[in-house]
Amino acid sequence: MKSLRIAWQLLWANRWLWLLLVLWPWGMAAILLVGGLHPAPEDVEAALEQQSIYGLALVAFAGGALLGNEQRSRRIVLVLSRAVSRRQYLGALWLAAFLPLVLYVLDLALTGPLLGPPPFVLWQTLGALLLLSLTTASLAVMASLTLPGVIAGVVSLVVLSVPLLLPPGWQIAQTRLLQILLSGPATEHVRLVFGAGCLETLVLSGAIFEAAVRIFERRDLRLKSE
Amino acid sequence: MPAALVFEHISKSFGSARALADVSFAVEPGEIVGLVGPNGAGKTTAMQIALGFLLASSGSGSLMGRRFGDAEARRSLGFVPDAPVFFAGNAFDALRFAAQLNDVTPTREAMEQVLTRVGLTEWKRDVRRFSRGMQQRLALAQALVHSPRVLILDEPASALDPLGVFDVRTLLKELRAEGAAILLSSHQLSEVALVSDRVAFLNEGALVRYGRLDELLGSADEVEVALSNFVPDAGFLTRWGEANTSGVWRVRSGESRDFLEDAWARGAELISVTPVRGDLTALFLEWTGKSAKGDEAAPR
Repeated sequence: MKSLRIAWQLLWANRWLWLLLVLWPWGMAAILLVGGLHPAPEDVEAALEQQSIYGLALVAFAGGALLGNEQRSRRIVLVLSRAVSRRQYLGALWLAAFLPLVLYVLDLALTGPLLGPPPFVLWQTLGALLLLSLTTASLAVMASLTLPGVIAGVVSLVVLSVPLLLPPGWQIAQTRLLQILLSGPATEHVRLVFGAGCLETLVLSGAIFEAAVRIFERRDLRLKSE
Repeated sequence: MPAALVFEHISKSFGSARALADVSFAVEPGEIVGLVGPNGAGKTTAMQIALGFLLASSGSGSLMGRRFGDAEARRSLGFVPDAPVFFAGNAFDALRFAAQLNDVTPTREAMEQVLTRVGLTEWKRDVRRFSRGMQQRLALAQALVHSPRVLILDEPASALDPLGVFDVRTLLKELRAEGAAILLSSHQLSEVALVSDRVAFLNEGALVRYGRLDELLGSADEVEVALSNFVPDAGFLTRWGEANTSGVWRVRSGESRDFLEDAWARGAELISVTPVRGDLTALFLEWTGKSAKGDEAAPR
């Protein structure tokens, strides 16, 4: 509950940015549909995949930047001088990175049907985006403990892509989820991909977050002295 | 009653730079301990360790019986930073947020009371547009809204006008009377002297002096000796120096007997011996090895 309260304050502090984000899919849909244009299904699919990548990047860069920003502004002092544990605080950062993505996915889910992609394309893409963003948020929060914001964002995206390098026999569900985002929906074993994807994402993002908490609990805050 | 805030042999290094070295002191309930020292002495480091922002390199400390860094312990703590920052919102939003993080949901009436207590009359504006003095009052209100038993105050009155400084002084005395343990860091030594029961003096990371203020002030005692029917000879002047324009010598208490015997042997009559109390600024300069002009203190 405290994490959510803190996350709300962090999100409210950047509300104009998030508002822009929420409006973005509607703007894109309006541009594509203006003048009665009906984009080809493959164009819609490509646009959807592109917007999903933007969504992941957003989570990565927001998650990577939050801790540094809060330390620089010293607002972290306002929070951590109260009965808030380091775990709860990192949880707040994680939520602040992830929750806007939920809104974004919701927006895409609402605007997507207007453009007419096949429903399975829309739901698979958004499902994969939602699951991968859980892992991305954990990776970005962890990276932000040691790296500056933008670099933490880049590193978390690079690490997220590592499953794509795995040889075919060693691929994990994350690999399939990434492939859905990058090269289109799965055509077989869809339930298995998403079932395993859910489980794997929960374990992976949970483990990464837990590791981040352990590290954060053993670190000094980096506060600018006045 | 156990101490509310305890530092036990705490040291802190940043790489090869030593920020604190074997610092031990405590703040009891119902007392104010002034934490003083020059810039870079380690005051902020000590407070940040107590708050759990920094981890001690060695040693340990406790807040209300729980180790430093324990979030539950901070429920009993109110902290005022030297440069308060806030999230967007009015004074009530800021107070409610701070209280809720300490698991307290304050009523509107309780918030109005605490805002009135700290002398903040502007409640509706976005607090980020407050003047620095108003922000300091609000930070004080945030520190008090959940009725903490321990307060850590870092320059709580640095941006306040003289009336505000007086208000804070009065407030600190009231809180002490209510049983709060208060650690007060300030460069306003006269204020520290006016409210503190004990003083912890840090210099270059080490605790140079720690004790009751009256004892520390007493430790710098001198006496003023007024003599009559006395024309000092060269030997006397060499040893004791010249009298001031009123014909009064100022000598260290420990040397007053020698001084008087020396003067009596030369036929002087004693008019008065008056103790001179030290002040915290003089002690500060003495402990940092500086004179009032900023030079190294001359040996006496």
